[in-house]
Amino acid sequence: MSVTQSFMHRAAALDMLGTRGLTTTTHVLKLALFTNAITPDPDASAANSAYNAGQYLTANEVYQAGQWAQGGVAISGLALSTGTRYVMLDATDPVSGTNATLSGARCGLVYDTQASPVTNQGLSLHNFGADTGITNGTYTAAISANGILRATV
Amino acid sequence: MRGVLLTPAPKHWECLTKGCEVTDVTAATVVNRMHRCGPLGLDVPLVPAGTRGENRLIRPGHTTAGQGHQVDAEGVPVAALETWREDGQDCTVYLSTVTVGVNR
Repeated sequence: MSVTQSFMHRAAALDMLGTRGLTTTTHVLKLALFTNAITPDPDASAANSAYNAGQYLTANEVYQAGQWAQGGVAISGLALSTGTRYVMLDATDPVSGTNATLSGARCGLVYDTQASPVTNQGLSLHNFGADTGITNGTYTAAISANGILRATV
Repeated sequence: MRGVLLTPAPKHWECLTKGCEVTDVTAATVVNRMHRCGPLGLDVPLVPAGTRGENRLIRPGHTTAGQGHQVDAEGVPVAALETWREDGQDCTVYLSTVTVGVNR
């Protein structure tokens, strides 16, 4: 036997994301839509990564009252799953009302409404790669089979 | 006087993608029904049976290569699927996976 690699234990990653983290009932994640007018920065401070702060100001948000609410749609069904050398955060697809009209949605910010000490701190930004919208219809964010967030260990 | 509870007729669904024969039947109260569309290789919404329209794939721009986009049946990245109906248009945006490499 020999030592061949350095790594973080998968169980520790699972613990950070799950037992003490995102899938506990003390966290409520939302998906808010933004236009391509913003310049998101992965190195932004916690305060500037929050919803309605930094780049994620409501002035650039895409929403419609009663359909896809300002502030985003709550992400339900948060669950962690694991496999060989990964931990994955999965959830139910967020969906709008059935009569929504939205335009120019280019990305989605997943943020935690219960984060502390920075309320509404951003978790991840998802670039759609194209402007999206609907007219008198349903807007669905289909979560990948690889999850919202995937940590490889 | 005795009341009679009327059960709403079930809702019939079908896919607008050419070559997809998937159908489903749900309670009338269901407003959105997704399925794994074989020809597209993606989660795609069904529409009420008899709806006229089409599904159109939207590809991500060239600046987004390697950003964890979902891919279609041919392995090509997709941004969204627009479902065009006579009375409106739906959109399914395919959320990219954000990957955190803890060790690698």
